[in-house]
Amino acid sequence: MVEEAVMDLLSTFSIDTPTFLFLVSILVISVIAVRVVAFVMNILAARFKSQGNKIRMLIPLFKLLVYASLLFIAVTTVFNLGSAEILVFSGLFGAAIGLGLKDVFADMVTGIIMVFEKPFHIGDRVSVEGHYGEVKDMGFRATRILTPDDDLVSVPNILMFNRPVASANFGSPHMMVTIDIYIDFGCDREAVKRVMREAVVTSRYSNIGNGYPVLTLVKDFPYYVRFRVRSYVWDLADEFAYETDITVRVWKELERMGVKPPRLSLPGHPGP
Amino acid sequence: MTMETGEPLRRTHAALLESIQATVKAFDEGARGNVAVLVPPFSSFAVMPRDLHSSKGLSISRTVLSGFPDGEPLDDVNGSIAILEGCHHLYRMSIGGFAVLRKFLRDIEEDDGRLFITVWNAKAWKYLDQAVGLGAHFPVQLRMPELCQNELRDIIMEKYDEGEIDFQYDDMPTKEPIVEWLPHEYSFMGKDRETSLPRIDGNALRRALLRRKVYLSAEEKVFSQIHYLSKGNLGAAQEIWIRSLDYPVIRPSYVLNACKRFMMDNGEAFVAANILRKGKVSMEEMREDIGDQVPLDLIVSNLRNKGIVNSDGSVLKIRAENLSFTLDSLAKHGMV
Repeated sequence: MVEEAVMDLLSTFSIDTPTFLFLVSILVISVIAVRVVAFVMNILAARFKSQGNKIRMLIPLFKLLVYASLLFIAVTTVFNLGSAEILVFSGLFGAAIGLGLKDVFADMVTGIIMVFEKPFHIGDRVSVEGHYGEVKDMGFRATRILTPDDDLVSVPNILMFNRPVASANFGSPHMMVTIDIYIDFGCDREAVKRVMREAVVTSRYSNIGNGYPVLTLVKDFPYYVRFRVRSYVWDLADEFAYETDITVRVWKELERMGVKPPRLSLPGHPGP
Repeated sequence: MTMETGEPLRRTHAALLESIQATVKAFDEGARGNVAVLVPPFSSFAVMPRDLHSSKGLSISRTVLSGFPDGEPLDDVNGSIAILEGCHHLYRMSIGGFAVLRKFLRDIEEDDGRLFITVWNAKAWKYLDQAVGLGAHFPVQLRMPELCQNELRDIIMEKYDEGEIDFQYDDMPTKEPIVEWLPHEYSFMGKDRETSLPRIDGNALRRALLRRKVYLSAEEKVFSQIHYLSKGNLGAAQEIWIRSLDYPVIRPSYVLNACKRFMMDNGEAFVAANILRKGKVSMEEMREDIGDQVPLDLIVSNLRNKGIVNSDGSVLKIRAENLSFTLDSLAKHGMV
């Protein structure tokens, strides 16, 4: 019975050279269209930075629309589907999923859900499964994250959906950056706090306006004091440049003031 | 370059002077509240001792700071009522650069016997308020308002006789255009290029939608454009006027051609914002302020080439005719 239905479905399959060329050409056009739209959206996102990540989210939406349309056109062109054939096609599709494509299918479904639910945006800084970086693309099967070390990590969409994903900025071009400096116990805490705050408010990368706070926190640990400054970087792309700028300028000033980094002190040894 | 101004300017400053006089009166009666007057870049607001009156006959002094002070800023300040202009020069954009400002704020707060009337660049004030909480130190804050088109016209035209300036139309129709084309500089494939981009005149569009036909005179059009480009800033408007006037003729197109749009990268915006906050600043002072953060010579050279910064010898300042576009660009970088 199943064999008969499959044979019936296959009997509706017909493809001639013009159809083949038609399908190839719409595939090529679709790929080009997706790339052109992605290119334009990225330019617009760079131009309108405050809405950049929201603009970039239109890329996967457009991709979904184009490729779903392409699939529909291809199937309806190659197969002459009636209601019985659709039933058989669905059965075969279900069997394929059950037999080995279930992970791919799960990735695709979660990819579609993520496009609409938007737990994060393209351009966001996210952390998932120990990988931290910028979301470069949300594909049908995987989400690609560019790490600070320039590694492109492909995370299957089902993982992005099932695991906790921390988004540091959630669509905003501004993001809080936490910078730690570790100092020896004998330091003047107020002076170091002031240096850290002034490094932030004079940095070319920081965003201190529009209600974005600068917080300086001090915590004692057994062998050192941790000074932590929490502030906002104006442009996500400058996150690491900002961190470096603050760290280098703070240490330059601290060295001028004679403030030392933590020193190892062991019983019986006076230390450096 | 400044122009001689008289009655129209005094009229626009009258409200500010009245408010300052009110704080002097309150001080005479025993209520002390230090004053901060916030003035837009390029606009000058000189409070003269003769403008103020103390019913107790208290002495009034005026001190103008034109750069970062070598010693204590209050050393040479005397008078029971002290007017201090150029207070935005009291900081440096570097770690440790706020020490003088902090001491100044502490000193004027602790000096109960004197009233301080301080004048600040409004852009520097905004930054310093975020950086060191400046606003908390001044109970009375007065802001010089933006001027409307008619006020700008009255002040600028004051020095000319009736009919002395020949306002001429361009070839454009006298009907109010909704879209205007402004010069715009951009970079593509590593090369600087120039094009024109449209700007929609919101007021003209609204009138067009309401089907109100407005025929502007050439004079109205000229001052409408000057007002738009200067954002109501008198100093900028005066500079734009001087650059646009081909004495005795001026046309709307001359005004638009005096300025151009441009884009800035982060480093350029950082340097431009610091120049704007100080008004005028020497290259040496800028180097001491921010020299370790950016390649200053290269950036200043770029800013000059783009027409953003004017250099008068070694003194840097933002070109007033490009103030509007500079502010737009700096806002995109979160610098103003």
